[in-house]
Amino acid sequence: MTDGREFLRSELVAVAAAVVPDQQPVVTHDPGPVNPGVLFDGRGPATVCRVSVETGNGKDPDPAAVVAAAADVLRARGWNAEVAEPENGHYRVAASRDGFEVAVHAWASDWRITFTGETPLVS
Amino acid sequence: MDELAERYRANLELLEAARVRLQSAVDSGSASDAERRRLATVKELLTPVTESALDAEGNVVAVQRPRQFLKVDVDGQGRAVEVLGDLRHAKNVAVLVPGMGNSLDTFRGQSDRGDLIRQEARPSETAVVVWLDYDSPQGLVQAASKDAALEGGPRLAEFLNELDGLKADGAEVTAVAHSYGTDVLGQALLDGGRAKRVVMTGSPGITKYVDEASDFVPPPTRLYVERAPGDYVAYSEWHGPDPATFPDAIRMATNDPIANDEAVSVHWHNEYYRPNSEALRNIGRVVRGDLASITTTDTSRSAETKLVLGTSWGGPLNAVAGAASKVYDGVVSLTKPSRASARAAASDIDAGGPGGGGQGGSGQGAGELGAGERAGAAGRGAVGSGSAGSGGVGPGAGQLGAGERTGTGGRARAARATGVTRGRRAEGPRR
Repeated sequence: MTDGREFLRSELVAVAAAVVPDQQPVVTHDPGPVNPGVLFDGRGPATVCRVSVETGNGKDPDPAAVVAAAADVLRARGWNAEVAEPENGHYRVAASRDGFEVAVHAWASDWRITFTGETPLVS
Repeated sequence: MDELAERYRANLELLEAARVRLQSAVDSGSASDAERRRLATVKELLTPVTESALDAEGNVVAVQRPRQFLKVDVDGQGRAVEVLGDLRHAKNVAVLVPGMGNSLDTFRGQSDRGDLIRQEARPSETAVVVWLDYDSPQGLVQAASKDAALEGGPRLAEFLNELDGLKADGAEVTAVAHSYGTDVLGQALLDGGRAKRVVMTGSPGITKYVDEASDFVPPPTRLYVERAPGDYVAYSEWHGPDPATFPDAIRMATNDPIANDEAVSVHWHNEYYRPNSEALRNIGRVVRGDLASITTTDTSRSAETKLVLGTSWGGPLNAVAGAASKVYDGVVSLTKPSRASARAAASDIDAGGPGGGGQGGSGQGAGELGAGERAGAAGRGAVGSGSAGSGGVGPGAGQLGAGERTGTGGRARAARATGVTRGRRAEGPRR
């Protein structure tokens, strides 16, 4: 799982840096392995790692453009990426690759763009 | 210093004192394995979190701040109540109530889940409170009892009401509970706890006499429920009728109404919070108050489980569990199929297989939508396919206007298969 976590983090940072090239992405969430996938809600072997990275353009935020750019960058790096229909100011991309899942969120009311990913489930 | 900041500071001091005490035990060689594990947990809870912010020049910078605990207890199983985000200024507040098997040492996973909800709910305007202030059952024998819910429910009720003084005026509170946490939340609501909206995922039932939302969710609060295909805990109705069957609850879809091969599917009992899943998206929609975007479903147990073990096992499991809850452990072992078989079951439903289409479609839920509110993508697709004869479209969707029957074939198939519709719902009581 360590390799997956490292890969995911590096991918998210790379995509974020490509989408907003003049800014330094920030890893905001990387707590390590957790276990959401057993009968016992929390107890049991850790099965996934989740990582979040944030960046953005504070001067001229354009959520529609950044999610489109994020989808393009993800595809160029080998991910299957799909831009969802905007939903009341919520713009998003869903991307997957080899069991990894990534959600890209941008909001009309916020300058941030958030890249959240999860490693494949280890059974 | 305001009350919130003072409580955050005081609880960090408690954690720091525990860290010193536990570290001393470890250093002296007297620490048990549990104490060593707890020390690691406490150190993690003391580790600051990183946020992004803009500096004076408009550049993105990393900012570190301490974690925000409204309560911590490092003894025994341990408890914690953590705030993710800016509770004082958030427009939306979610209170997450975890289920069985949790303790302070598993809090990381629940905090992670809270963060996922926040990501889906416009994080700049949303705070999530992860509420683990009860002794979560640590095994099936304990979980068979309502004791933990009866003990924790009043405390949660007290917290929900206390929250009014901690959050911004006008901020809307959504209580979100999973599994045994729904028992705790249900008890809290029975004990006078209040929230604007209530979300329950994978519930084993509230209590035996509660078979509709109005029995325990006072108007105008609405109950939103998720039950994923194959959720054996919900099927068991171990503690009472399944809230997913309540006539006055809004049953949200857990799988994408316009599903394609890339969609994240949700099955069994613990996948409701998967990133990119419809289950998590719907939870986010409720928390941020975007109720018009919620997708709903009304699939039956038999439709959801048709292919697993070659037969519909949802109903039999329900009967067996109801008759003999003492052997629940064995029932779970016998009926917990593989992920592959779950996906096979879902594929059967998707293909409109026996029971799938007939149970699916936009039935009761869509039928209750307002006339001008029945224009959801999946609903349109279901009708547009003209395939109501396959059992995919219920009477509600059948009332769609002609101008709304324009769905694509692909969307139509998905909607028919999963019995999902998207549409606007009024938040007030239906009855």
